Amino acid sequence: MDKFIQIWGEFNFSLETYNTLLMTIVPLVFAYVIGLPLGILCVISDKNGIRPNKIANNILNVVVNLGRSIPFIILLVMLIPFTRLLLNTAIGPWAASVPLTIACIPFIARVVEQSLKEVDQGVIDASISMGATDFQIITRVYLVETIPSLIRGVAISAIALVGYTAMAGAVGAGGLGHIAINQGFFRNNMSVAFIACILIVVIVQVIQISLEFTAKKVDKKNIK
Amino acid sequence: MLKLSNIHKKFNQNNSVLHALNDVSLHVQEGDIYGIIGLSGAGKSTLLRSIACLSSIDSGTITVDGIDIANLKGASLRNFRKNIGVVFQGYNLLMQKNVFANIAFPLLLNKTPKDVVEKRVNELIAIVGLQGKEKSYPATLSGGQKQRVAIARALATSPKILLLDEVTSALDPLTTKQILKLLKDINETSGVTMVMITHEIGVVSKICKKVAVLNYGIIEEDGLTSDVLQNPSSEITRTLLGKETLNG
Repeated sequence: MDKFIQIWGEFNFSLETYNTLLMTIVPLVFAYVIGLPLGILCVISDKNGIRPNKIANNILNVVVNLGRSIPFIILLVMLIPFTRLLLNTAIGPWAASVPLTIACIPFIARVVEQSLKEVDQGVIDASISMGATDFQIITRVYLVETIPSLIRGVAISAIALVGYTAMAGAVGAGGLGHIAINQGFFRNNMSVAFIACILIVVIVQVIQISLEFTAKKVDKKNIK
Repeated sequence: MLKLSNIHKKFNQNNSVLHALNDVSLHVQEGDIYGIIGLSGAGKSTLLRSIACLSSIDSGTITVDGIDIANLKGASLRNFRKNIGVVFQGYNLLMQKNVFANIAFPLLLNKTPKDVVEKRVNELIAIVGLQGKEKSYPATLSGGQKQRVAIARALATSPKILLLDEVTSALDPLTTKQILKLLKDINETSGVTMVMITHEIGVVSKICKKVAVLNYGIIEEDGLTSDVLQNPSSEITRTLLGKETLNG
């Protein structure tokens, strides 16, 4: 136990856990700000959507697919000049949040799109027949009817982000991934790597369990 | 009141053209319960979707009290929609909202004041007999109860016309009977005009005053239900009647 406390202090686990959480939450919020509208646009511009638009839909799909097809480790390096331009630095958790956000946007757009597509076409027809505007259909039908699914989507995105933070950590962002790889494995200090891994597992579990619990709690469709 | 003149609608399906509605003309009078019967693929749903302004028609006119609704667009179409209520076979309720919120939904869409909404919804809940279920969610209701919610929702804006799309097809015989009775009562007390799409001749004979028989997009015959059912002039009507006798 003493050894554990000593390692904890020596490698500054508290700070790095905080950094990992920061690199998860900050990009998650920013990526949703852009990814959520993108996902909505994908759904409504689809040929079965409320505003079918083939050109817009194709452009959206190309952008989203391109964004998703670039491996994160490459994006991380590719975006260094952009990050410098934006924040004047390319190292540290805040700087890493830039590529993390950009990598996450297309991912979230797809996750949101999948959720919204769960709404039955009949419900949309019914809303139209009641005189709903496009905006009302989005805000009062699509986003409300799929709340449990959207919450599960947040869990999927957040957990993917935790994984990305480890990669960012390896190249100067800090965080638990940085400790596990640079201080742990590379210096053959396995107990340090082990503690870092356990902490990452705990973070992922907390995200998964708490959001799944919330999703179940708010879901009125699957109640018995 | 509701007048359809020479409606045509074609669908292109992998190189072949499906004439879903072929020169359909109908005249529904105020207060009627008008049945439109036909087999699957006869064009019933296309017809109903056209009247509900959910899909466009190629040519012809659809008028409600003299207003040509096939050419309405944007805000004027949305405003007009409160004159037409639609009840679907699959209920199409909002699953994350309770009974009260579902019925209030069309009223809230056009920004009706809260106290008016509450009064109207409670009125409708009483009409369809769902007292005590206000806070229940659709997932916990039976098929018949869900359809009652859907009927109440469709009536919320006090429409002139209620379109009913196979509303009893998913229900058992007893529930079907109760829902048909409810619809008949509503028609008698409020005078709302109803257009009912169905493939069951039993439904037509129970509540429809008039009926049109639709087959491959063509109206084969129409008139008073009693006349059409007793002296069918087309083969398809005899088929529909025959099926009914076979199935008891």
